[in-house]
Amino acid sequence: MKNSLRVLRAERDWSQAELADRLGVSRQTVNAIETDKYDPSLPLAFGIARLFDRLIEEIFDPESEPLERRRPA
Amino acid sequence: MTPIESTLAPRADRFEFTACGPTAKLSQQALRDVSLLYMGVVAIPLLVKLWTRAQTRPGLEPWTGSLLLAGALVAAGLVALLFWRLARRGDYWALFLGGGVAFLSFFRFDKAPLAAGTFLEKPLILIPLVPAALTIWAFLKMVLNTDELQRRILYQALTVGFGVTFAATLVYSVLEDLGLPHVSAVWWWGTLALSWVVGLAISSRRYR
Repeated sequence: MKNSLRVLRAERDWSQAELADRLGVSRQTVNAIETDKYDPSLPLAFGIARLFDRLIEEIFDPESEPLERRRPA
Repeated sequence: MTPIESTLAPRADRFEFTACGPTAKLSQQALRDVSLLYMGVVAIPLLVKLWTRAQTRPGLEPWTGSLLLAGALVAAGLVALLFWRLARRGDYWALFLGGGVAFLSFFRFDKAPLAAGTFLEKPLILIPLVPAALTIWAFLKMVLNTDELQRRILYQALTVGFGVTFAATLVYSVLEDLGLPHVSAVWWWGTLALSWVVGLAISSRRYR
């Protein structure tokens, strides 16, 4: 699932480690979400939305293809 | 800076499953405690060994044996205290490392009992179970403290580890029947650990 986490993080001038600290997850998790390699769970997605004061669908694009169904070109 | 959601794992940033295995940062305090713990677990078998030798030497002063045994008990007390300190601080990574070191120090790979022929022979064979239990408990705590991606990586790696070990044990048991040398069960533990680390490398690479 595509998301705008990297853009939102850059707007606040936070590093991945700083965002990870605020969310209570590892830096690797933030990086995996930003690079569309991992779709977060619902509690984590809500946590991200609350942190950036946005709706979940404003951050995560539900129209993009789910990670599990994606096939290499 | 506080985590915004109570549902999210606390201190998840302190522990990660990476391509090099489980890793985390050790604080100065934890490093000091683990070093002291290591010295303690090295001292215990050494003092017990000397005490065992003293039992078979009639020429030695009687207090020598008692002194060596008291030294071993003091070292055991120090080790127990350090384990308790690490557990109380919730420093599970240090506890995991300390427990592993203690287990390997007490475990007799040469199969020779530590205090052979004395009343301590049998109890000392069971001693490695204590640090083993602490290591398992610390590992479970670490898993519970990791975030969702880390747990996914761990489960994928464990699947690889168990799958490879299952296949390897089955295949090798057939090969043994065909004449290949018998392999000790300790090696299967090594196979599981190695295939788990390989699984971690593959799994964590997917999310890098």
